[in-house]
Amino acid sequence: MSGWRHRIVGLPALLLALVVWEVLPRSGLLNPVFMPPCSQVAWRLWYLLRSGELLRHCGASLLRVTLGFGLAAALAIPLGVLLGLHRRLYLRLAPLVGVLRPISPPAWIPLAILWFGIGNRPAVFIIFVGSAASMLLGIVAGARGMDRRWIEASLTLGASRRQAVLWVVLPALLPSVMTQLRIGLGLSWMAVIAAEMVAVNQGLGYMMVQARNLFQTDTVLAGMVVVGALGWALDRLLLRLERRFLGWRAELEPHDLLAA
Amino acid sequence: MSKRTAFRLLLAALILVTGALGCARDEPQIAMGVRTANDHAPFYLADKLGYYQDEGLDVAVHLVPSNTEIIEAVQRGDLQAGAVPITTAIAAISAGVQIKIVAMTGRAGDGLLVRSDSGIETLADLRGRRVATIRGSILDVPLRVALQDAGLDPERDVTMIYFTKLGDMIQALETGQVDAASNTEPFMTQVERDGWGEILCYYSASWPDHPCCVVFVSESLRSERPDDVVALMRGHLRAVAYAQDHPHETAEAIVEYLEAFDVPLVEASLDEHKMRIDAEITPQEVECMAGLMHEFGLIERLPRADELLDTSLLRRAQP
Amino acid sequence: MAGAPNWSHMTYLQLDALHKYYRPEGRLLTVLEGVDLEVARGELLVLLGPSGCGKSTLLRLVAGIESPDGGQILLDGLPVRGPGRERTLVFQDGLLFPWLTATENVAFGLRAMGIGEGERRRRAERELARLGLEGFGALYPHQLSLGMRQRVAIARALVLEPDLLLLDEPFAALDAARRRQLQDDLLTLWRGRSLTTLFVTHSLSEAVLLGDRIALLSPRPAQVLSLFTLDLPRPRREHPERLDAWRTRIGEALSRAAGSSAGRLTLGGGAAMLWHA
Repeated sequence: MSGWRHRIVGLPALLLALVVWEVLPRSGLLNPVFMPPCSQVAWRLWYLLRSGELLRHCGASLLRVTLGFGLAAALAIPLGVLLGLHRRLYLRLAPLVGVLRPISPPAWIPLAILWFGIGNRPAVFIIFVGSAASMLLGIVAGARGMDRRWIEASLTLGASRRQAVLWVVLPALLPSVMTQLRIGLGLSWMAVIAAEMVAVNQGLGYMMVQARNLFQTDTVLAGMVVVGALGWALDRLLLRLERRFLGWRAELEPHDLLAA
Repeated sequence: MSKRTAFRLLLAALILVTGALGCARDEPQIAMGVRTANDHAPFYLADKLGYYQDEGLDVAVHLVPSNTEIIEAVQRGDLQAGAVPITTAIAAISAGVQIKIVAMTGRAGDGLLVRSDSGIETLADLRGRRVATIRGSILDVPLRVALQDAGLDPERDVTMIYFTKLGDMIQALETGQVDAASNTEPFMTQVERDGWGEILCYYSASWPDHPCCVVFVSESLRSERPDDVVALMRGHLRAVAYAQDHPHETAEAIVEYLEAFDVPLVEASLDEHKMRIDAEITPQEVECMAGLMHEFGLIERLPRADELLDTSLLRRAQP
Repeated sequence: MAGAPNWSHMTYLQLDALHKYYRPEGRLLTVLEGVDLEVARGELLVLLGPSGCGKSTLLRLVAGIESPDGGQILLDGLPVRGPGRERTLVFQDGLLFPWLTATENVAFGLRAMGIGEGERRRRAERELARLGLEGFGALYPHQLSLGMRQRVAIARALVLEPDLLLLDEPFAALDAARRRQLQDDLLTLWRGRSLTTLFVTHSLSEAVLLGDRIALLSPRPAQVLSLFTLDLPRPRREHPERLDAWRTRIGEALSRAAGSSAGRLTLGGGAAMLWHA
């Protein structure tokens, strides 16, 4: 399907869902207290936007995600490459990381409050732990799966070890690193909502929790819509970056980059 | 026997058994959700001493961790009655939840805690400081009133840090993350006893005897089985009277149901000057609370008085 | 061009009693057992043997990517330690860097030498032109055909003006026509620069076409079974019947030598001859 055509093919299903969402609560088939109609949520979204509240909350959440994700990536990329290339080091650290990874972000909350108190810091910490371990393991896997012969090729072409790492290993790993970054960003975005249940004054997670305690279900739903939309937008942003830096990958199959 | 016949027989058997089980109870059932707090003592007492049963009711008292969950359970139909802070009830009614307040259960009992070494002596000393509270709750509205009384603008002159749990606020106060924490009994007395903190003030100083927790019932219960609600009220009144006269036994019941604290501590916290268990409620105070919530921007819609409160059932229960 | 083969009788590369083994999962796998070989300056020596016999390993040892467990490798009298651009290796599937264009690939070694961008681009494009790829420099490997990729790989090696060119079955994946083309191109380049070349293959016809000498390797653990000096004038395609004669002669040598493990060898016509223990 050509460019714009494949974009609108998904529209009818979406529109139908919106119509159902509007009709069911209004007709009483669904209790509107449990599920406010679509138009009410839309109105609420507009109201929150106009009052500046929504932008304030979005800004807070995005800031935390940027910091937490940034820190996680800054750790996971170099450490992942290192562990991927040095088998002995990897064997020593793998169990530790493997044990930390399954601990989901909400499980870190009590410790985060204890260590960092209130504000942005515990939230950033939770986002960090929520995504760092996963990205690390993914990058390690990518590094271990890299065709070692490229390094050999570069060495027989006269490259030093340092040059081999900078000019061969990093570009070779860039595709798998970008994939892991996209996964990690998704995890970070999910973690921030959980993290914002700690004592903060703003953020999308905070907005939804407060709305729940005041029984404002339309705000909860509006929050969910924004969370979904922003999460999608962040992913598209990374996808754009990926396309720009990895243009050479256009026709490549994933297995081409792995050891034969 | 064909499959269809077998199926029909099974269905009939099921219906009979269910009917039999249903009829086995000759006492009407009410599921009630309450919290773990001092002013929910009447429910522990009524449950323990069988006051509801005496009125011919089978009331299941459920201890629910949060106010929001009680309301949500009522919305789903899992509970038909409950006790929550008046602010929660007003917020729910304002948002369209079909419940009505029918009685009080406790008054006052909350205030501000500070660290002993903080040097904060009066409310005015809180200017520019960080105060922990739960937004829109019973710990929030009287706090704002108290701050206003001391000449402070709650939004501008102090920094409100919003939490969702009482325990978190105590911890934040202890570690110095906040300078004052809005809280309730028996935590307040506990902190003083532990030594690191002290009670700056009780909100009853600026708003004497302010309502704290109320009893509510779902609209369906109220409209379909009003007599059962009256019977519930009778049990409640007895429990309230008992609590007012027997602080020691009340403290024992609280410790038993909360599975926390100790009797002497709780008994100390039940002091008349700190909090008061009471069943009486007036339209004026409910409207006042609702008006304040609306003014502080905590609710969007100001409900009418008749939407909020129905005291007729309590009246009928009184001798 | 007829005449004597253009290599001097000076030994340039010397392999003494090379021994290499691996330990996959605790077992002992001996790949090379006492390999002795001498390569003269400027000659094109072909290493011929069945698949899996260890000839690639031998090449990797000479390239310096791996170290021998016994014996030594001397280049111009000096022991070889580690990889270097003077002994550059062209891999079986080219191994071009997919994130670089053809020109950038060829310029890679030059960049490692510290040569400036303009100069290395100039040299790279010149080398590409020599291999018939003028104008294709801006394309990425995935946009090139297999044959073109191999040319880029060879250009990448040659632009560094190595002392020793190592090729590991570089044309194995190509179809007959392209293989033929590249074999001729390689011969032209080799002759033009008097490049000492070590060429590994399992194809008898390729060996006979290219090699000044052919070292026949036994199946694993590999040893040099015999050395053949081909006194065939070049271009050899003009003498098909003499090529045939050599093929037969070496083919017989192969059948005579008993191997301890099975190997596979292809004759030019595609008929396969299977070894048996």
